[in-house]
Amino acid sequence: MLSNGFYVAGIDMGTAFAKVVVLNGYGIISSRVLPAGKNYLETAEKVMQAALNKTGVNMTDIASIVATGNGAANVSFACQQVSDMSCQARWARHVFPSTMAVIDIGSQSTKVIKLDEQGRMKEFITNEKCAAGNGRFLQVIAYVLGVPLDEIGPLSLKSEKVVKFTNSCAVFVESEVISRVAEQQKKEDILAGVHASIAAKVASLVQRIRSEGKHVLAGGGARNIGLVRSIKEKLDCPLLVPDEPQLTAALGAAFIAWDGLQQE
Amino acid sequence: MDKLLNKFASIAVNLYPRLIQWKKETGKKIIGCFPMYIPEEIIHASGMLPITLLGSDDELTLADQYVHPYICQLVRGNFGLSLKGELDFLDGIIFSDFCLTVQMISDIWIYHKPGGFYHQLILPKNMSASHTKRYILQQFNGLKKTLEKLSGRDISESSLKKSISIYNENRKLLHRLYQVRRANPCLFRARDMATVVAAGMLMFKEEHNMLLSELLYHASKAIPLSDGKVRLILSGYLCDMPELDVLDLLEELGAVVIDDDLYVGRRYFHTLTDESINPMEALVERFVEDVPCPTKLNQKRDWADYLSDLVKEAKADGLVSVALKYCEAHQYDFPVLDTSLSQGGVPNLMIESSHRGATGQLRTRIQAFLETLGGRDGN
Repeated sequence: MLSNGFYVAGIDMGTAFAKVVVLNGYGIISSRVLPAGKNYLETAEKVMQAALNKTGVNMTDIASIVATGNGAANVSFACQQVSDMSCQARWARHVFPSTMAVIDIGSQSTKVIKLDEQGRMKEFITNEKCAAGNGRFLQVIAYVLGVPLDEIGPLSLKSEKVVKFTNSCAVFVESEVISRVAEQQKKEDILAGVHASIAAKVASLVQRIRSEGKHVLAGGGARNIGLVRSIKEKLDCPLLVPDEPQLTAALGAAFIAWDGLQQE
Repeated sequence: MDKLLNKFASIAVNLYPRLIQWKKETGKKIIGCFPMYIPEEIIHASGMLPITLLGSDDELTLADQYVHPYICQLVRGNFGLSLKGELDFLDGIIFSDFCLTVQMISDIWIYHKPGGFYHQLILPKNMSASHTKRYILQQFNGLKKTLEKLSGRDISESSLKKSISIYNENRKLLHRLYQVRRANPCLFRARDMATVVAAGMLMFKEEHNMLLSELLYHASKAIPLSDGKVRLILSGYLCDMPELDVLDLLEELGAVVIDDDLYVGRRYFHTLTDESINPMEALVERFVEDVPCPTKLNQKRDWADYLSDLVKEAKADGLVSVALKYCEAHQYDFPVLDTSLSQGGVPNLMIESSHRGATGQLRTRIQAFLETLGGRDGN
């Protein structure tokens, strides 16, 4: 058993953002999010340094680092690699013990992770077919509309007439959006339509994996208040949203690092 | 043993240049067979070499000019090779109609590559109707007649029996090799097993039997390796070569494949042909009684039960099932297979392969699945 003073870190190398959480037995010491660069290892080192900056903690003080996310294999300074599904499950178990499933809307893929009674990952499903249910898709649409990413959620809430999108391919929807813009449709209506389309894909994943009970939303997509509302409308189950959904996988990774030290 | 395994791999990967050379040297005829259920023994008994057409991973093929984009890589690959002239060394091609794509491609193929020797084997879907076996026998007899004409040689009952016996010997050797693998799974990489089986699809079985005996001799002497890995049954790739990158990925992430339900694997050799009855009827029986397949209806055994038994017998931790992209027959079966296996307590992961390399997303899904089976995380 370790003393609470030991530091561990979780690093989540997503395709759009790199996230780090540093904690010890008393709580979270620091966290940081940076846009993912082209070189995973460079970005990983950068985000790690940024997280440690002004904390008085050095790299050498950290007893264990767990890496997760698409670029996890590139984080050569990590002690262990764990899938982001396991990290999300570990996080949810700690923060929302009564939850039965995590819906993770990342940049690269959307996942539903079903938990058992003990909060362990039981099953998962991902949208392997198509990008139109992903966070990355939102980034593309925000760019096309010229709206900063952080503003698309609040803007979409102003919609009075949701535009319907029928295409299931992200690239084709992008051109459909451009056509709607040319037709002078309002940005908020287009965004509300895009959110509804992603929410339908999320709901379909939830149906396919047959998860029930309390669901918790995680991943960068959950920062979008418009998308969250759309998903709530489509799902029949209670939905919890954490304060910092983008950090959940990194936090879960840090918990797993901590668990690993306790077992040693 | 590594040298031997490399030999199998070079035969399986080299595909056709070796065969073209072989044909020059021996003067024998070679017949290309579409997977999965052509009774190769009849071709063998005619003195010709049956080989299985396992496609090609070429992304850009001439086939794209003639077929729609949603057909599988096996058919696209084979047709592309043919259009490029790389199958011109074959003395004949036998098509079967086990799925709609193969059924349709034969006409398109013959239209664009006229003049070759082609035979279309039309087999039934229903395995338990009163006329099923009679009908298959007619089809097999038709194939036999065609082959006799092509080879200029009558296929006697005794020569067919001899071929069946050689094929059974091949299957028994592979069964023994798979037993060794179950007992000592880390001895072989999954890609080794696939190329060992694939090599047999591209050479006379007599020669393959000799190589297999040698491999078995070395393998049974090997020291057992301890593993601590997640023990998997790999199912799928029902009519194509498994994607070797995907097999490597499973191992890299901490799994070991201890047995399989792959076409280029157990599915190809599992069922023996009965040597005590009339040989043509025995081949019909083998077709009907073979391992469960989504292209066959009303088989005695249910696929999910068959797989559950395989998992239990081999004491596996779970099952990964891989469907070839655009394989409708297989993917229609996925939901019911998933439900039946899960209800039977068999953890399983269903994935799709397009023969385009292992993506990051696939890596994450496999990693997470192995973690649910008690693999490498601390969860």
